[in-house]
Amino acid sequence: MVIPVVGEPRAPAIELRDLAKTYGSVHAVRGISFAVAPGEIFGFLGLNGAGKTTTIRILLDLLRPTRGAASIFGFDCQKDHLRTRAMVGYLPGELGLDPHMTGTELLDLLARLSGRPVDAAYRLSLVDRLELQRHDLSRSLREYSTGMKRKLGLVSAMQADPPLLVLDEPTEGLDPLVQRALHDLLVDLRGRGRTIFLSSHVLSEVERLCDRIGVIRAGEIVLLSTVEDARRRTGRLVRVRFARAVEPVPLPAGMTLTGQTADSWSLRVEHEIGALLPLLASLPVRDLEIVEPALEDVLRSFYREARS
Amino acid sequence: MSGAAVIATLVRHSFRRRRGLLISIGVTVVAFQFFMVLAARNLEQAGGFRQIEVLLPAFMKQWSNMMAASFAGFVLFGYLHPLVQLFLIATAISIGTEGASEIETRFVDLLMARPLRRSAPVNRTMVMLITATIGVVSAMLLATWLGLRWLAPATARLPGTTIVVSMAANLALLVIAWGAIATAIASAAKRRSTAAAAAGLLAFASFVLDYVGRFWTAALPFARVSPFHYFDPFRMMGGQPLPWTDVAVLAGISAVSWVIAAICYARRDL
Repeated sequence: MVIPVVGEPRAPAIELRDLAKTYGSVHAVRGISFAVAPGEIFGFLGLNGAGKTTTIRILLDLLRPTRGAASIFGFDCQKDHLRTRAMVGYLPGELGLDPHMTGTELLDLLARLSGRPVDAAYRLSLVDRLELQRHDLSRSLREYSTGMKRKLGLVSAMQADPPLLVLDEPTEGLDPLVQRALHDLLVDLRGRGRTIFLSSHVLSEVERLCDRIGVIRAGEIVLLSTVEDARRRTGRLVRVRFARAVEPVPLPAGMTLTGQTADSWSLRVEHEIGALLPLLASLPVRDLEIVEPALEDVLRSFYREARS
Repeated sequence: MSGAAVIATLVRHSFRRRRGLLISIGVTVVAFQFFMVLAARNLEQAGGFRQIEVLLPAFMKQWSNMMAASFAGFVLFGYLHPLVQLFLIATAISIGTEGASEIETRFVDLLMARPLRRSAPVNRTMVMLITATIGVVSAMLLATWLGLRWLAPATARLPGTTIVVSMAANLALLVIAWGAIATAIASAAKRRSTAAAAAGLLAFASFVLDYVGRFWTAALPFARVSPFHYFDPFRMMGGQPLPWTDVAVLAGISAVSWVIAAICYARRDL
C-alpha cells in the first residue's frame, strides 16, 4: 500500500541560492544556484571532489553553508531543518552501517526516526523489487555484501515514501539487473509525483533516467540543462562517403569538418541537418551516417576541462 | 514524533549496541564487590586487620576515622579503589564519545538525515550515561548488600547503609561528570579515538593533580579544578555525610559539560 503524500507545497522541490561552502582556503562549493522542480528526476554530476556530496550534505543540514541558502519545498534547510528532513529520503554515498545491527533493526530504527509513517507492506515491496532476500533482513549487517548494504540503504531511504529522494551514487555496487530494477522503481516513483535528486558517475544511467542534469566542476555549476539539450550541445556527427573523390566545398553555418579523406567527410552539425542536404545533393554521395551524440561525450568535454 | 520518544528510541538503540560492554562491566564490578566482602571476611577471621592497622600511615587512619583497617572499611574500599574508578570512568568516556564515533563511521548521515534536533544525539548520550552509571552503581550496591548478607562474619561491624549509599552516589556523580566531559570533547571531535584519548588524559592528569593536592598543601588550590577533588570517600568513611558542595560541583560539571556539548554539536559540521 502506498502512503499518500498530503499537502505538498508547490515550491521547487530543491532550490539553491548562491550556496557556498569553504573549509579554510578550500572552496568546496562556490556560490551555486539552481532549482529542481517537483516530480522530476535530476542528475547531479561531477568528478570526485567536485562538490556533489558537500551540496547534498548541506541540503540535509549535515553541513552548514558558508554563504547562501538551500530550501526544500520552500522551507529553509537550516532554519526549518526538522520539516525539510521529514520530507527527504536520503541514501548517503558512504553508508556507515552499524555492523552489530540486523537489516530489520536498522530499517525499524530509521523508520521510527523518519517522521513519517512507514507501511510495512510497502517496505517489503521495496525489498522485493530491489531483490534483497527477506530472510537476509534478519542477518547481521557485518555479513552483508557491498551490494546488499546498498540495497538496504535504498530501502531505508524510500520506506517512508517521502516526496523527495536524495540519492548519492545509488547504483554503486549493484549488479546490472538490480540497477535496472532500481531504474524502473525510480521511474515509477516519478510517475507518482516524487522528486528524485541523484548524484551519479554512471552517465548511461543519468541519460536513461534523468529529466535534467546539473554538472558541478570545482564547486561551480558549469552545465544545467535537460538531457536532450545537453546532448545537442556537441551536435550530431555526420559521416558521408562518396562514390569518388570530391573537392572540399564551403559548409553552411553551424557545420564543421572534423575529418576528411579523398572520398569521405566527417562533419559536426550543431543544429538541424536540413541545410546540409542541398549541398550533398550536388555531390556523388554513396552512404550517409548520422550519429546521435551521447551525453557522455558532452560531459567528457566538461570533465576534461576540469582535469586540465 | 516527540523529542522524548526520539531520545527513547536512540537510547534503546545505544543500549542494544553496547549491551555486551555494559553487561561485562556490571558482572565485573559485582564480582569485585563480592570479592571485597569475601577478602574482608577472611582477613577478619584471620585477625589480619590488626596487622594492617599497624602498617597503615597515620594520615589514612585519621582520614578514615580508623575504618580503613576494619571489615567495614575494607568493604567500602570497593567504592574508592582506583581500579574501580578507572574502570567506570573509562566506560563513561566510551559512552560519552559515541557521538564522535557516529561521525567517524558516517552513521550520523543516516541518523541526522532524519528529522532529529541537533541536541538529540547529545541528550541521548547523557541519558545513556546517567542510566548506565546508575545501573552499574546500583548493581555494586546490590552486590555489597548480598555479599554482606551471605558472607559477613557474625562478629564483624558492618558498614552503615548511609555511608555505602553516599559513597556510591559520590562515585556515580564523579563518573557521570567524566562522561559528560567526554561528551563535550566528543561533540567537537571528528574521531572517537581523539576524543577518548583527550578525555582519558585529562582524567589522568586531574587524578594526579588531586592526589598531589591531598599531600602537598601548596598544590591544593590547583587541585580544586580536578573533579576528583570532589570525591572524598575517606571523609565519608570517617562518618561525615556526603558534602552537598561536592554534589553540587560534580552535578554542575555534568550540567555545564552537557550544555557545552549541545552547543558545540548544534554549531558544527557533521
